Amino acid sequence: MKLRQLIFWSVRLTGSCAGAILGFYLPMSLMVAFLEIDYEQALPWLLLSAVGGLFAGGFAVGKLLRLHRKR
Amino acid sequence: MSFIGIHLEVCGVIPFNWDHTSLVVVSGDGPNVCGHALIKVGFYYFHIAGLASRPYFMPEQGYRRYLDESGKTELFRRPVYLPNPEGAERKLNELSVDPWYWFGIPNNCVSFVEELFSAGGADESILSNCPVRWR
Repeated sequence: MKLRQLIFWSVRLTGSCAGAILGFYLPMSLMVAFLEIDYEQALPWLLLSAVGGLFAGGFAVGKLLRLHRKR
Repeated sequence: MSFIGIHLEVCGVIPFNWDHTSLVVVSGDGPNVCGHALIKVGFYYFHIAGLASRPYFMPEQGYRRYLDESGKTELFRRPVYLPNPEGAERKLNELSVDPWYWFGIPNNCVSFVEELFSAGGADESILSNCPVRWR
């Protein structure tokens, strides 16, 4: 694997991880509206959102890198 | 919503017996494979369960109701010796006043129990934050 490709995938992986963290923690800002909700009831939705964030983060970073390469 | 306990409204009304303190771990719901940690002080169980709510407590029958209604099973319990019960009592009163914010890996059910153990002078903590491995 070329170094350039390795860097591309590492940056993309970082974007995915950042997306997953944002996906998990951003919906928690809604907690002010659901103060008494059991965290175990919210957990499946938070994990689903984290998985969504994982793919969205990787996709967004990949797209940004490709745009940057075309320039 | 199933029964998860009652908020501790008035401090010092219920005499907690810190000489009989245990760590109690019950199974988790859905994707929570790590289980859920509670602390048992005398006849009362304490835990945090809300995303942003004050800690809950329940007596023995309330705990049975909690297990029944939420479909949980008790995985294990073990006694923990607290050399400083006054410290633990103070900490419990302090934590019962403000909402506990659940943040997933930090500030979860384990951190709540750890804080009480630590205030009571017990050297009990778990690095993985997974209560099922806290035997």
